[in-house]
Amino acid sequence: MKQIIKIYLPSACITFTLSMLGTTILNLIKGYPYQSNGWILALFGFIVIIDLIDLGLSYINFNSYKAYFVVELILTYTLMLAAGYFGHWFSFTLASIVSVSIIYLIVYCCVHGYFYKMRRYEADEINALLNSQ
Amino acid sequence: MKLTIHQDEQIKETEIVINCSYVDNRLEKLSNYIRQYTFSLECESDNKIYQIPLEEIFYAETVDGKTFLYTKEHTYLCRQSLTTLEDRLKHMTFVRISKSCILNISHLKCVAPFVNHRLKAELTNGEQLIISRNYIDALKAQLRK
Repeated sequence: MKQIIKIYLPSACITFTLSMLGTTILNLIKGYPYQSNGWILALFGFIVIIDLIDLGLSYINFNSYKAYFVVELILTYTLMLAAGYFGHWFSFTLASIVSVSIIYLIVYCCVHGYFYKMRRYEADEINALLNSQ
Repeated sequence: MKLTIHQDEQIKETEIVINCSYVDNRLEKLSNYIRQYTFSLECESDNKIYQIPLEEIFYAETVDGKTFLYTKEHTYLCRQSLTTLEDRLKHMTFVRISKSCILNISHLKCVAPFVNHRLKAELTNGEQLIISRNYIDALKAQLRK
């Protein structure tokens, strides 16, 4: 429960908000006036699956942060492309794939950046306690 | 705080007495640290039994159902389970940092962010251990004691 509140809930909220903002801006640029309700629910389901992938990856001992970052990016990006193709989320033209990929990468980096900062803050707090010993 | 060491060859057993008006957090921490020196754990290596003083133990880890104690240069097999050790050492400077590891924070040098919401601990001998996300708060609480 603690992990859901501390990790998965903030992760889902950040991903959902940024994805909605990104796609809304993209839709406005392209001239589409609204988001479909079905897509919003599908996005939520997709985020839950990503959180489950993250949970599954926690059982693998990665040697470096970079390896973990790249493996998760490849897994979730492939899943996003598959969901986009089968769920008809966007047209599979080069321009659409590039724009959706850019939004995906930005959201992914923001979520990882947020949690890295949180862990950095936590590590600094522990190091300060160690130094005060 | 005043420190007095009375040295006398006639004294058979070293005794530390703390005179204070009340035991605050710092004094509690100091007494826990000193308490390590009164404790030793029985363990094995090369079919020989050893008594290892607590302050020499960097961490205890369970591998394939066996508990091992790690000092600066040696590894010893301990007959007690990690849970039993954790229970025995809970008032010392030891804290559980993952399902399979108990760390002596006296030998903890620093921590850094690591993969998947975990932290990497660097010990004074240069070894590195992973602190699971479920045990980060316990480590902080132990350091604040």
